[in-house]
Order: sequence, then C-alpha cells, then structure tokens
Amino acid sequence: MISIRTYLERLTRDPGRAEAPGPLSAALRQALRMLIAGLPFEPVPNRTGHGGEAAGELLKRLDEARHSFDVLEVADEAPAALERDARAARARHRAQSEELQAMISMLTETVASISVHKDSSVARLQQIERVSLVEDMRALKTSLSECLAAVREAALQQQVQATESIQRLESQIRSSKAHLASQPPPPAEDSDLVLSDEPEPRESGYAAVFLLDRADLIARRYGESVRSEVLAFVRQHFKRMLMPNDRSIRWNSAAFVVLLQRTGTADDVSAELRSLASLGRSQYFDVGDRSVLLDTSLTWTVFPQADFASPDLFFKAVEDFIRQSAERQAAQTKSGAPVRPIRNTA
Amino acid sequence: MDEHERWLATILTSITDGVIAADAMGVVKFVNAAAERISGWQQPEVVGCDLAEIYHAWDESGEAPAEIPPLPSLLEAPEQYRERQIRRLARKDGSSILVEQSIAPISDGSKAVSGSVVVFRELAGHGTCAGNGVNGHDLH
Repeated sequence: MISIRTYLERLTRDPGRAEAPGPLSAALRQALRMLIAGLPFEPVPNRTGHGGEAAGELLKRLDEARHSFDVLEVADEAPAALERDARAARARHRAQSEELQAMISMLTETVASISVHKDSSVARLQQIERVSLVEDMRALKTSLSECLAAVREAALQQQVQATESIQRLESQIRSSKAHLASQPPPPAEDSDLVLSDEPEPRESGYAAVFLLDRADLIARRYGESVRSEVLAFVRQHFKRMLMPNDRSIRWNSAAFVVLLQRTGTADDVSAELRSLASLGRSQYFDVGDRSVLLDTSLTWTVFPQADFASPDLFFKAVEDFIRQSAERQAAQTKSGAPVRPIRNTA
Repeated sequence: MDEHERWLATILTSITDGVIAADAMGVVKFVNAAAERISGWQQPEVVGCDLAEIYHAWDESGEAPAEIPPLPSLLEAPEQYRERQIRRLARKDGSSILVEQSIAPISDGSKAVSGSVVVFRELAGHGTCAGNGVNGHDLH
C-alpha cells in the first residue's frame, strides 16, 4: 500500500511510463465526476464562464485526462473553480440587493411625497431600506405587499376625508347664504362686499418672453459664463419685482419666460412689464480682476396664454419671437444701422 | 448732473481730435464732430453700432489690418494701445486717411471699466487716398 502522494511522485519521476487503466484510476475518475456534479455551482442567466459552464469545463478535462495524475490535477482545481463561482455569485447577489434597495428607496420617496401624513408604511419602507443586504426575497415581497396595502388604505382614508370636508364646506356655504338672505341688506355705503351668484372675475394667464439684448455680443466678448451671469442677474431682478406666484423659467442662454397670473387686461400687463423692463439698463459684472459695465436691457413681449390651444403652439411662438428679434438685431448691426432695444408689446 | 454732462459733451465736441466712445460690448455711444469730419460717419447713424463694424484701420503701409481690439484684449495690454500709433483709417466713402490714434479703456480709476475710447487726429500733410486705399494698391 502506497499513499497517493507517493504514487504521484513516482509517476512524476517517470512521466513517460504508460499507465495501465486499472480499478484505482477508474474509481478516482468516477468519484471526481460525482463530486463535480454535486458541487453547488451557481447558474447565471445571460452570462458565460460561470456556474454550469465551469462544471462542464472540469468534466471535459476529466474525460481528456490520460493519467491518474491529470485526474488529480482536475480535482485540485475544482475547489478553486467553486470559490471563483461563489465570489461571482456573492457579487451578483450584492448588486441585485443594491438595485432592490434603490427601488425601495424610490418607492419610499414616492409614498412619502403622496402621503399627507407620514404614515406607518413610510417608516416600514425606511426600515426595509436600511437593511444592508436583502437576503430573503420572500420576506421582502411580503413586507412590500403589506406596505403597499397600508398605502392604499391610507389613500382611501384621505379620499373619504376630503369628500367629507367638501360636503361640510358646501353645507356651511349654503347655510351662510340662507342666513345672509334672511338679514336686511346693509346700507350700500357701509358695504364693500356684494354677495352675488355671478362668478368672481377669474385670473388670466399671461406669458412674457424676455430676450437679453446683444446677448451674443456679450458671449463673444466675455464668454458664455458672463452671458449666463448677466441673464441670471436680470432674472433675479424680475423675480424680486414680480408677484410670488409668478414663475420665471430660463428658456435658453439669452432668454427667459415669466408666467403671470393677472386679472387685468393684456394692456395692463404690458404696462406693468414695461415699467419693470425699463429699470436698470446696465450693471457692473466681475470679469477677471475687473468690473465691467454691461448692458442688461431687454427685448420683450407678452402673450395671453388663452391664445394657445396647446403648449407646442406656445413654444413655437416663443421661439419665433426670439429668432426674429435676434435676426433683427444682427441685421441692424451688420448694416451699420443702430441697434436699439425694441419694445414689442402685445 | 445733466449740466455737467452737457459741459463735458461740449468740450468733447469742441476739440480737434476725433473721439469715438463705445460701451463695454463695443457698441458706439458717442462720436464727436472731429471724428465725424475725419471718418465721414455721422453720430446718429453709428450710435448703437458695433465699433469694429465702422472703424476699420490698417497699419501705416495699408498692408496689415489693425482692428480695434475688443475691451477684454484692451484690458490685457492697455499700454500697448494707449501709445499713439500711426494708422490708415478707412473712411465711410471708401477713401482712406493717415491718422494718429490711441485707444484706452474708460475707467474711473478703480477696477471698474465701462467701455473704451478711440482718439485720433488727421496727420498734417497727408491727404486722403481714393478707393479703399489699402493693401498697397492705392496708397501714395
């Protein structure tokens, strides 16, 4: 009886010696085949080089082995292949877990944003989100199902509460009207409020487009960042002067749009904007280590939002205005004619 | 303030040197009477224009263009442009004339700059050239 080590050492010393197939070699091959088949390689969908393929490669090499020594080499490599496969599987699980946590995080944010109150489902989701590694998919699915059921229930409750609030308010309005109708009318000179079934004057929407004069010239002389700074300054100036509900939106590198809610006519809005646009035609801006006085005057127009059946039509009108104004300025500069701010009002 | 500005404008209008002032973007804001006479451009027709579009100059020989630098370039090397230089200026009617010019940033003495000013005078004894008078074709 000799050990496998001794047997292999002898074989190594005389590698040319042909090995007669014997029961030891056959048993070794069979035992190894069973071991490889039984190893828990992870199958990876849509990937090659892992799992079943690793086992298949080992079995193929086992079939091709001529000597018992080669068989043992294959056996020696099997644990390493298993370890590699396990590492890959762990990395894959970690990535899947991170993806799941990101999805849960998004779900938590969504639920938190649509929930009037921070209900228990948000806390539950946050708890799931904090778990470092999602191990048990079944438990996760159960937790998520419970959370979503709670969200649905909370949404239903909010809907019911909102309906009840509306009904209560309508009832109060009816009773108030009935009460006022039963009272003698106040003297006209003492009353500022006249109750009427006629609708209140509704606010109309307007969109004003402001184009920075000579914006291209500023960019050409001082760079895009300075043009951007000038536009931001003018926008801030307008934001301070406009009403809180008005929204200012940067349109491109030279223009911005202000959405206004006003009860007045287009002429009233134009007059308001004209006075705003006339304030401050130039301003010092830092350029390098200097302060340079740059023109902040604007060409502008205002559109009633009701004029546009769709947002696309509005976008087109804005683009047309910007393009025509820029072309007009460029043509005047090239022709040697003065470029003066154009005050174009609707 | 208005009176002070009128006083300054009167001085600028009265001097015999041509003066063209532009804002920080190179847009012409002021042209005095001497500049109108030398260049042929009248103030009302050029105020609001890009200075580089109306003030075209070449070196003395008329070979190399010597355009007015934009303000950022002027601020990088103000001394280079402040010194009086002889230039051939293209007039509005297409003729050219030799002038002595200098260019300087308009500054209040601090780091604040509001534009640039070109000061030029016709060189005595040098008449105008017909045509564009540049590139060595019509120069005397």
